[in-house]
Amino acid sequence: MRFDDMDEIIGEFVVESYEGLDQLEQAFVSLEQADDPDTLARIFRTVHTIKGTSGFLGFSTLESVTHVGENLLSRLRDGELPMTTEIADGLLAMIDAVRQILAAIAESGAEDDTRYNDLVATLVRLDSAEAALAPVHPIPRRRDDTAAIEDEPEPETDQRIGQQLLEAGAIAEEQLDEALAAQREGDPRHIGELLVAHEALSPADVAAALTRQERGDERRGASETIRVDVSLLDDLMNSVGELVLVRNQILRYTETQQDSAFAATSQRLDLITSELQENVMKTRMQPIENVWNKFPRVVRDLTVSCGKSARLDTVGRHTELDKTLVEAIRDPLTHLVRNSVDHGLETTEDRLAAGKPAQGVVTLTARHEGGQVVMEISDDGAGIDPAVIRRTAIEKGILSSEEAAQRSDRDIISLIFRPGFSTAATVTNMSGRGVGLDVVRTNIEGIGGSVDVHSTVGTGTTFTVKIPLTVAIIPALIVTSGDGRYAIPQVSLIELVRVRCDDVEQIDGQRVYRLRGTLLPLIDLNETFEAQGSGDHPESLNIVVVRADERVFGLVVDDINDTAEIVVKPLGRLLQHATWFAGATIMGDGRVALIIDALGFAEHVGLDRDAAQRGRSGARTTSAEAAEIVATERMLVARVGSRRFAMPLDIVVRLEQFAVDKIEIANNRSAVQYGSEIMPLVRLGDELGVKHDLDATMLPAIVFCAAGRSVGLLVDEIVDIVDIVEESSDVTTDDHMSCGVLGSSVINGLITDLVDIHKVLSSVLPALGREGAAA
Amino acid sequence: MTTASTTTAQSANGTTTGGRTQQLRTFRLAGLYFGVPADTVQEMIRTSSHTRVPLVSPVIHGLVNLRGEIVTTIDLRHRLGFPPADRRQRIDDDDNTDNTDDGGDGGDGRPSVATNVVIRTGDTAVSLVVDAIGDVITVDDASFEAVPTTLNEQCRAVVDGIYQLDDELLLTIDLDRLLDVDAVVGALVAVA
Repeated sequence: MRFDDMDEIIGEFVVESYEGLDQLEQAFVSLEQADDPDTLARIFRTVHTIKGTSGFLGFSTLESVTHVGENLLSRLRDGELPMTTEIADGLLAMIDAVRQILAAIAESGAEDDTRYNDLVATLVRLDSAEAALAPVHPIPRRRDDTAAIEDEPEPETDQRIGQQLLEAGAIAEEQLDEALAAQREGDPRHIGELLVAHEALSPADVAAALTRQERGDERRGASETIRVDVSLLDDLMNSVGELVLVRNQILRYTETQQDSAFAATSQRLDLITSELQENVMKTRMQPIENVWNKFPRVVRDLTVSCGKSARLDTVGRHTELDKTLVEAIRDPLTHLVRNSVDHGLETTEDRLAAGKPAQGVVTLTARHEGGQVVMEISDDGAGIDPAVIRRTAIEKGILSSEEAAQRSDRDIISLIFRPGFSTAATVTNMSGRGVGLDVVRTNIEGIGGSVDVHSTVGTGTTFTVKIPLTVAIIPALIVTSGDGRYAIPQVSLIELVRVRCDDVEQIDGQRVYRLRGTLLPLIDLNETFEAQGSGDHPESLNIVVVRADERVFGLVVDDINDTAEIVVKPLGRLLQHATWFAGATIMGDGRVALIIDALGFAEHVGLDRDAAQRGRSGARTTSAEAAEIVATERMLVARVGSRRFAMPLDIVVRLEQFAVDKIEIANNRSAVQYGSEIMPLVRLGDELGVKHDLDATMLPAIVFCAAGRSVGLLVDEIVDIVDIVEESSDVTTDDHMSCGVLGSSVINGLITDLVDIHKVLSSVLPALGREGAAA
Repeated sequence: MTTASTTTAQSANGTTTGGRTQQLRTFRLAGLYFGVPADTVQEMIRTSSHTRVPLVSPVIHGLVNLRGEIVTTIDLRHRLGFPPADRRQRIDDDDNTDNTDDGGDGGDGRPSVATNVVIRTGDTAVSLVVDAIGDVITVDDASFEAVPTTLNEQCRAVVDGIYQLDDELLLTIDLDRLLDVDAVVGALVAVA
């Protein structure tokens, strides 16, 4: 029993000491920049408390380490020693040692065998050796050695002092009344002084009473907050989660009821539940500064070691988020801060040469925005040069030179998040930008967040991290597919579109929809989940546009039901491998619905990241050697007559279909009214000497764009979109090949000609042809 | 198969002396009599609806909401390599409501009622879909025998051994092996 009590005391000691230390590190760093006697006094008190308690609990190593630290601190506090970098290093090392010892105590209840003799010696040396030096900033003494009475609190608290003295039996009631009366009559002196003056009691008694009063204040302060075990909060959160589900069920049931009293009651239940949910969530909220607190130290240590000078600015340190998220964000944020100092900021010389202040600034900001916490880590360093990334990407074979040229600078810079992008070679080439950033992204996405980077060469880089406020209850869209309902987390959603089936291009099972000029790959949820659809073919499709990091795709669902606050529940260990689900939730009717994990889902259906990316970035014209195209591209395969032709998908803007009778012929050229413009049409077969099908009423057209103009290429059928990998491509170039064909290749077992789009379209778009020829 | 038989088993064990005894929760599946340690069984439930989990092993029957906890249910017939049940066989003899419920229903299209044995291992629950639930019986280790080779391979992989009861054999299941993730997930690979 007594042993248990002891454990409890030690546990409390460890927790309290850790809390004190967290504040210390920050205080130290701020102290190094500007002396502040209050900060120093606070540091001293914390170390003093740890020393005292460790002595009491018999932790001798801890006591000896804190003892020398305390000595040093007391001399700093008294202005006998100036604060120097060396002393700060020593004291920070002491804090590290204290942490290590505390960790050992927390684990085993006793100190481990590590001795800190070197550290103690260093601290003793610092304490004695530099005494002779004059302080750089003499620190004003915090407290005069005047009598305790003069340190008395303000008069309004004197009532309580009097009361205390009265209760302690030090004075009689008449004496107090007399003193209070004197004070009311305008005597400016404090009550303690008055009492002493009236010889009612000695100054020592007043001092003792004051100490008691201070302690009382502390205790009162303490009673405002209590320590609660996090697991208890977790349980509470779970219970509230259940309550939310029951509330949802009751609300659902209410809709079917006529009873107005019942409706009013359930409405109240709804309100109270929401309030409770909000408040329980608040109990789990912690300010982001709990993570940030250690960053000044991180920045300081890094700058010291890499010879830079940097300052950490913070904005919005009180921004709160769920405790589990605070923990989860700790490592990724630390990595980003280190990255900013290490690779973002230039050396002092470079900065001066660039006309910047010698000291770099890393700014951390946090704010709430639309149910998310948005954090930014920016530096005012050299920025990321997209040209360097482009070069590296090409060298590493991640992008072809065409792709690299096509991508926007922003897309290019995002490559630093790509796994494996940062290797030793990259580090030298681009000063290490991107080291381990893929891990950062994975971690942040693991908690339902996202990370993005913006950079301007010469002025700096900003990483933007967005994470949800809480993970336990999330807003989601409920959709129906076949016999099941699925929840899609709101964070993955981009938009919902309802389109006519006719607007969806069917390319041999692979469906695409052009959404405002970009090709959106469609995935049928019924097909993927092997669900039995309703069987009938509706005239329109419900498409949920979903983002999974860079990939954007459309999920075709039977029905879009509603948005709901759902409680995320984990799937059991038997379903851990089903990464396409993020968990499950219980719906209003008590049934279980699965939560779709956009990222896992995209990976499962084999949606190629770059293909979707290309679909998004739209089409740009390229000029390329046939082999190069085949080696890296995703190709669109079309049929004319009996022959198959392939062209790179990424230069295709859209796929259209025109009724033959809509096609007008002017100047021996075909054209069609397309939006507000007249789009010239080229029959692929005519250019290549192949006969088109005769009896078609609808002609598929592949739309390209050049110099702001659209041009359509008419084919008989759009067959497929295929990924072509290098090994499978065997391009043969034949000198007798008709003009307009670059070569042929076997795609899906059939001979397919690679179309030279520039040649083929040159008759209608001479400019394009020239462009192609020039490049 | 009936309450009578389990009672017999119980009385038979009551008379057995010597050796260690243990309590087993029994159930029927594909005409066989199975048992799992009674202290691992949290409860027995009947579910009329479950949520199918797409793209996973058919051994995973689905998910059910057990008082707010989402529990994975396992199609035990599939797990042990037995053919799917004719639903009429699933009807538990000692539950009349289900008899009437399924009484006039010869065809498909109505949600079948599944009988579940909910197993709790650690802090997670997993539910086994069985044909019918039997009693809790006490068995004596003295009557324990090795697994007969006549059982199918999938069954032998998870059956510990058998207890010779008065009128039939009771097969005991090793839950660790039954619920082994690789074995359950691996079934997906085997089927796919």
